[in-house]
Amino acid sequence: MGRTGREKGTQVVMVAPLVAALLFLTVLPLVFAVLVSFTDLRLNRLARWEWIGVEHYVRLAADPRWWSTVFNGLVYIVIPTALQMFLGLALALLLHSAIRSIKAIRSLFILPMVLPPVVVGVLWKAFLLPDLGGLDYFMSLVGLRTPGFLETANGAMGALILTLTWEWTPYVMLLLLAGLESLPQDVFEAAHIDGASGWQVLRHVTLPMLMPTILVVLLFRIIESTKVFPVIFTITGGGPGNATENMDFYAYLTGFRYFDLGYSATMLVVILLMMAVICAPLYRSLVRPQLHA
Amino acid sequence: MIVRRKLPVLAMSLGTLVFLALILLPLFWIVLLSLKTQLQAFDRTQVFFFWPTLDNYRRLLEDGTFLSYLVNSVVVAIGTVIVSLAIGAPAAYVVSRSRWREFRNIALGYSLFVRIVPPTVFIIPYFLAARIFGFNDTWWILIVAYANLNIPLVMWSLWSFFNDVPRELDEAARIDGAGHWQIFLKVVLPVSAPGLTATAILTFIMAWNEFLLALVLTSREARTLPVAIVGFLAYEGADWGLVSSGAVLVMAPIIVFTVFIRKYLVQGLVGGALKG
Repeated sequence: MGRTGREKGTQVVMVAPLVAALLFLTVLPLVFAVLVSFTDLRLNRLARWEWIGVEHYVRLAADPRWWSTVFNGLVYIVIPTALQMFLGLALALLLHSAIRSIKAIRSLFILPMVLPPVVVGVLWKAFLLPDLGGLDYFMSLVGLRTPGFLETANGAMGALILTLTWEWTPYVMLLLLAGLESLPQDVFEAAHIDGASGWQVLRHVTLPMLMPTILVVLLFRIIESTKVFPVIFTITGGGPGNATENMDFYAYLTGFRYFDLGYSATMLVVILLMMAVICAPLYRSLVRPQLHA
Repeated sequence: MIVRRKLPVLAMSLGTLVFLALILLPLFWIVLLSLKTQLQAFDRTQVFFFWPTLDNYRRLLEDGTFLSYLVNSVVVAIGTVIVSLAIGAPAAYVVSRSRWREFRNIALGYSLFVRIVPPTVFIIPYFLAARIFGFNDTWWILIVAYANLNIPLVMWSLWSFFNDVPRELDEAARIDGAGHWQIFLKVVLPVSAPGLTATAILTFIMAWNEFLLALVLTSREARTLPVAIVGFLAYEGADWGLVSSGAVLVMAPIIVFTVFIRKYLVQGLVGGALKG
């Protein structure tokens, strides 16, 4: 075996653990989840189960609670993501042109995104609860009352949207600020020499140049926006009723509260397919061109 | 610069500070709450000015279970870092250095795929596997489950840090007769030490923060801190003293780490996807 042959062998050894992890920790479990979705496996009688074909899929299609969680899931993807992108961009632009001493403390701005999501949930629950909460206190100072966040369906949804916006706006800000800082400065100089106003520069120079970064950040936010389980769990517990459940949450309850593992696995498979359908085109058009650049 | 004159800069700075206040307000509130007695917590006359007490922290730490959950969290997070780096780093080296196209595409596609898959999808297979092999409620099952979620992230971020190591260094080592292992261990790893550290810390944070899998895969022995805090919320009447002091203790190390790795955070989070 020559040197290049041996080198190729070394590379195979270096990637073997990864391939094993991919197979045993990711692919096999997913195949297993798909198989479970075709059975009537229950948590309280694991030993006895039967193949039932696509029965669960038929049941899912006719399950109104499922469709309401799909709707909520879309709400959690669209509204907080839109708010995060808008506020994150604004904050990045502000911070980019703020004075040096503020830039020096920018670590403080990104705290929400690195905190444990459970803590984020607890934090906002404590802040929003009447009696205990800060919001109620601050609003009472100006003679207002809180809109009863956690009691009504819309209020609870609003509380979650608020929390998710708070949690992830810093993420958008952080990445867009990095994008802003990597833009070539001479274009801005030229625009100023041509007498462009701040607003014109933003509209015609900054935003177009930042657009590729904005799109990649948007893709990452859409992907991550499905992972809201801990926040729902701590703030509303899916309630009132099941008004704030998303698909993950319903799947969790079905498997581990109602013990219906087969049906729960069906939901998980469908969630996975939905994410693949949403993300594949975004990935192909946004991320891949940059990877090969 | 987007805006030139002094006045707008000051206005911008002021706007930034308003944002900052909004970001920090709920954090500040929970810290205050953790220093209050149950009575003070509900007393509108003692919102900012009150006699602080460490009583909640004392109650939290005196009951030994919190400390044992702390140990669980630390062990699981460190175990996850070790396993994820040991598997992810050599693979990231091959992706970065090799002309082996097929592997590169598979590895990067895999990285993105695991990120897209909601972690919920893994709870049933991991739960059943843990039952079958008798790993339920142990450190091991959590480390394995977290390695699954974090190896792709580690690879994604190290791939980008390794790309920043100049190829001339590889060539020089190669002329001296070094093979891939030696180049990896003696050239690429030491040169990218800051990136490696940042990646390790980021992985630690991910494992430390994780809730859903810990909720399903552990019950008493291996329970981690996020699950324990939710336990204090309980169903009838939350003990806000324990909830708030627990939350403060869980987030404290994360805040320290974040300040530490801020410079590398962007690259660590999104790897090469934002360069160019």
